[in-house]
Amino acid sequence: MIRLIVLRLLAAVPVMLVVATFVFLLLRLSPGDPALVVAGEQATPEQVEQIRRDLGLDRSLPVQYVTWLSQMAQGNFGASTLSGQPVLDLIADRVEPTLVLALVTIVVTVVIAVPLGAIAAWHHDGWRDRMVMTLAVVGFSVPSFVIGYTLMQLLALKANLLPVQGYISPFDDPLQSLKHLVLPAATLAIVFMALISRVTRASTLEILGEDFIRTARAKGGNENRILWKHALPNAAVPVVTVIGLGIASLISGVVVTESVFNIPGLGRLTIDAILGRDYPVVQGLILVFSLTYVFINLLIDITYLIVDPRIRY
Amino acid sequence: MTHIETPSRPPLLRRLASGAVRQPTMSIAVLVLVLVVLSAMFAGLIAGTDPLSISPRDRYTAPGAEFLFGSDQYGRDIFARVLHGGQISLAVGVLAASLAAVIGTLAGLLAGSFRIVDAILMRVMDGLMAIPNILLAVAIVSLVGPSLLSIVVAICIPEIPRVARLIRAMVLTLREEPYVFAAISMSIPRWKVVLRHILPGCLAPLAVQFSYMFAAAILTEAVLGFLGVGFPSEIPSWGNVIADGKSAFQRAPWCILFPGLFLSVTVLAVNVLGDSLRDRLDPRLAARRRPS
Amino acid sequence: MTSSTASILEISGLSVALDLPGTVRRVVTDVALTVHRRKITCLIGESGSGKSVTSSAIMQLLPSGLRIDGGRVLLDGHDMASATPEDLATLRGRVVSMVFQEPLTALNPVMRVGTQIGEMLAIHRPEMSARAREARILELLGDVHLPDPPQIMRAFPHQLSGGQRQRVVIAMALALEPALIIADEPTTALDVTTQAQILHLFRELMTRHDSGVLLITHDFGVVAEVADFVYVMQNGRVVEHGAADAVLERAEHPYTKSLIAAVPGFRFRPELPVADTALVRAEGLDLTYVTRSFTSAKREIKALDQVSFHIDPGETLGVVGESGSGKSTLAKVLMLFEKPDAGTMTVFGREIGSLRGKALNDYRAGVQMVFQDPFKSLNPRRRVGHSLTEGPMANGVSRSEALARALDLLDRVGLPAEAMGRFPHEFSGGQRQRICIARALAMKPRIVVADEAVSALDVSVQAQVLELFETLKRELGFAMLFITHDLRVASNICDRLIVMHRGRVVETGLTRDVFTNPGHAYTEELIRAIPGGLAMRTQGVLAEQP
Repeated sequence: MIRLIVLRLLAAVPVMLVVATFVFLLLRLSPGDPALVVAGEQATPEQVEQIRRDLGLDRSLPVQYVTWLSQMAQGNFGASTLSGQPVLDLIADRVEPTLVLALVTIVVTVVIAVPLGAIAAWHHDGWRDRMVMTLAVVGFSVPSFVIGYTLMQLLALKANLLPVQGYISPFDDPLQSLKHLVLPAATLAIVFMALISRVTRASTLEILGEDFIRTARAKGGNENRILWKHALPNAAVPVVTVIGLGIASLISGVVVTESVFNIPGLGRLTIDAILGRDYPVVQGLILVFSLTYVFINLLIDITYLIVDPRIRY
Repeated sequence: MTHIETPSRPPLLRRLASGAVRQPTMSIAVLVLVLVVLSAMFAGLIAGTDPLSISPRDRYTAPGAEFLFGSDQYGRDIFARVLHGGQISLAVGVLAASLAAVIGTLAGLLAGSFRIVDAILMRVMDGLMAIPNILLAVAIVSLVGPSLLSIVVAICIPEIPRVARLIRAMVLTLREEPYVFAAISMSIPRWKVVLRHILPGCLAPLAVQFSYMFAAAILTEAVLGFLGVGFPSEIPSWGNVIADGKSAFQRAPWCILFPGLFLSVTVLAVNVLGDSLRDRLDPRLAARRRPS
Repeated sequence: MTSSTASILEISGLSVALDLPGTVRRVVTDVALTVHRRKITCLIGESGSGKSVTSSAIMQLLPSGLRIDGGRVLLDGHDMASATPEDLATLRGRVVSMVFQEPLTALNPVMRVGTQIGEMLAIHRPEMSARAREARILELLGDVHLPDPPQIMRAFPHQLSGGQRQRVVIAMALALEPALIIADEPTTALDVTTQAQILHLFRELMTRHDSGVLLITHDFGVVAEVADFVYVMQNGRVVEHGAADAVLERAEHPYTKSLIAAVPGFRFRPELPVADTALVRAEGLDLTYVTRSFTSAKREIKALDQVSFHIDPGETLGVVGESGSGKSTLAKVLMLFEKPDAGTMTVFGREIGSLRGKALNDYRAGVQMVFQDPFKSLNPRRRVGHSLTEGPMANGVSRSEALARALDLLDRVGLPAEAMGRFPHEFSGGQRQRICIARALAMKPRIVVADEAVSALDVSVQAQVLELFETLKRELGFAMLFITHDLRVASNICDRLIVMHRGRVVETGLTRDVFTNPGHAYTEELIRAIPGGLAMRTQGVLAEQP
């Protein structure tokens, strides 16, 4: 078992390396002087020269790569060209709103979408199935910013039920914080729910076709037991896998949603950095987001190793 | 039970045709798509006005006789901008999805055929999957600068791993089929085996994946536009028309409403088409319908 | 429980309909059937006869699209055809339970075996204490002769063998001592030796628990082995029924007669003259599969262990053995799909491990294979004509020559020339297997490898395909390596046999000698396990055959 976990951990290293290499190449292979890009638009020629030396741009590409990689590995992500603050500090300052928003979204999604998908599969081709699938395909197709603006228009501006924009920390004022979270979390969750309910339905449907479901039905008793006790636990593996993979699209969604609702999280930081051509921050954010993604999926894989009896030898 | 659908499948086109008759939602989706494509192709004829012509007097005119969909902060005709924007949005969608399909299929075939290539290529794909797609696209476009090529490439790269994984999985399954063994035992060259006996089996799931990617690509282009890194305002696309309208959202909601509607309906139609294709073409789901 | 042979299931006028767009098709018509306590009633028929649909109708577990269209299913006094979901909830499991064909997939993979048996008790005897339930589970596991019940109880399904899992399913079916047990092909997926044990287990438990058994099967051997009564189904109707002995000996309906006649009997072939030079000579083949996934323990399976054999020109060498015996690996080595770790294989006078380029292509053309599953052996997207000509054309045969050859072969395998332009899905399983044989022969092979080539076919079709092999061999003069798990089939077509067990050849000899005078304990066990036994075959059926 421990061997398995160690092997999984080792398997994550090349993935991170690929991400890092990609980020490295992105800057070097794009047109224009990397030093100018990193230095930002307001930099003096001296500053640009300094950065050119720091990046080792006068040396060969492999040497640059090794230098850069060792810096990144030590957590030395450089400083923002806009504010001069270290990138990691900037990220740490902005992490709370994003984390709160993402967690609320995931919890809401799982609590609603998984049962919806299971019920749709159970009533395959019935009206409940069609309804859930219709909602899912719509949720999948409408861009999140359109959903966000629509919700804002209806619930905040017209009905005046909720605050329009902004973020309040739950540690400062839990009630106000919750009110501010409802719209952005709903916006994000609609897209995520579409994904999860579709996957839950598909994998539950597949499981419901298995032979052991027939065995379970031949046992008699209440049929609902078959869905919740036999089908869903078996469908859990693909569903949890997709939740893990969906983290990537959730992160993309966060970037857009924070921009719509003016939430000072990592998503806003990303957009500000991109519009301000603050390359060190962009680079740091990509690495941090990807690392989070890899780490969460690693956790999920290891949970399987521990929980799924079929993998235990 | 000879008259029930037989387990193996008749040719692709015939299955699609019979699907359109049996599934009205699919026919509607196709109809909507055809209309959207036509409206984009003949945007100039239909709209009548120039999507770029500025008219400060007519800022934020509500939808009406003069401006069917209203006007934006420069008094530009939103109707014309949406129709012309369709050209760019659809083109980006088709190009990005095609490029991802071609590259992903090649990568998947290689990975499924050679073990060493598999080990390297799939790690690279895992790495690409780890970078959130919007972030990746935004970073590429902001570094290289917005152009049709850079935007298509930026949108296509995050989709490649999905295709590669799909095709690789299909190859690994199909190459265990007895008819593939039979072909090898008849000394048919490997490349012919792949081309004739393996690739055709991948086409149905690829068609489904293509439609989902097409939808995703249109959405991503819109997000790029929305975040302000897409095409400049002189080249209208659904994304940047919405982006132009977002600042005046409360005052002139039509600036977002109409492009948003076109975008959503198009993506919805493509996704519905993809679902219908999957229901028709996915042998696992088709098998479930068949009482045994 | 006093009237020990009273009827517990009475079906009368049962019809099942399949709703298709615009039309309705009857898949079961007017079936009448009775099952008695302490008796095994067999329902026999080929695929599509409606036998499984009938059994599902009793349980009200029909696949979607099918519905009961008339008739009564009286189970211990309850009419199942009109039972409400609440009735079914109490009747299923308690009064009637079911054993399915596929033991590997019939159990929930993420639930412990004990819990799955216990679920039956929890549903129907909620008042039972946890301790009493556990005691009952252990008792049941003992009843089905599973070793070490306490350990099995805590096991997950994947940790058990196929035979063990089927015993677990049976234990589950027995948990509440139901009046009726329906077993749908319960031994078809099992090896013959396991099959014999499971069939006898049914008889033993049925008597002990005072139940009746309805056994669905396609194999008259199984009927001869265990049945008290038999019902023969064809195209959704019962065409003949009666006491098993009577039907086996004096079948009246032509379909029953043809079914019994089609069961491969033991028919030994005249000895071939000994050839001077063997086509194939294998010495000391070793092949070990090492699975080294993420698991800590690396697992080694010896698929071939010091295997030696030879094939003479024009002869059919049979390879018999149970699953995991290495017989398919042998075929793969001959086909060059696998490389042995050690040993030599000389074919057509050359060591095949060193073949390259043109020599390799020539060798491949000379050895062609017919696979088990006729539904997967042909590319579903290519026309038959293409499948038949592709191979020869890739090896330098002209298009016209390849076409002529394909047409000639289609004629020889009994298919019309129009078949060239059709797709595989337009043919039945037996027809597809004929196409596969034609495809193999189009390469003009000197050796044909048939890996369970008739196992997936109905018995009547099986007999025809075996006959076809025989005829073609006589006309075209190729040698065959014929792999099968079915000793009856082997006796029909093989000149010599090798018997394999866990990667080793345990016995080799002329087919007649191996059967009449087995030289190894394992061979004896295999022969004893043949359902229906050797005796029934030789006297009952074969006396009538020329």
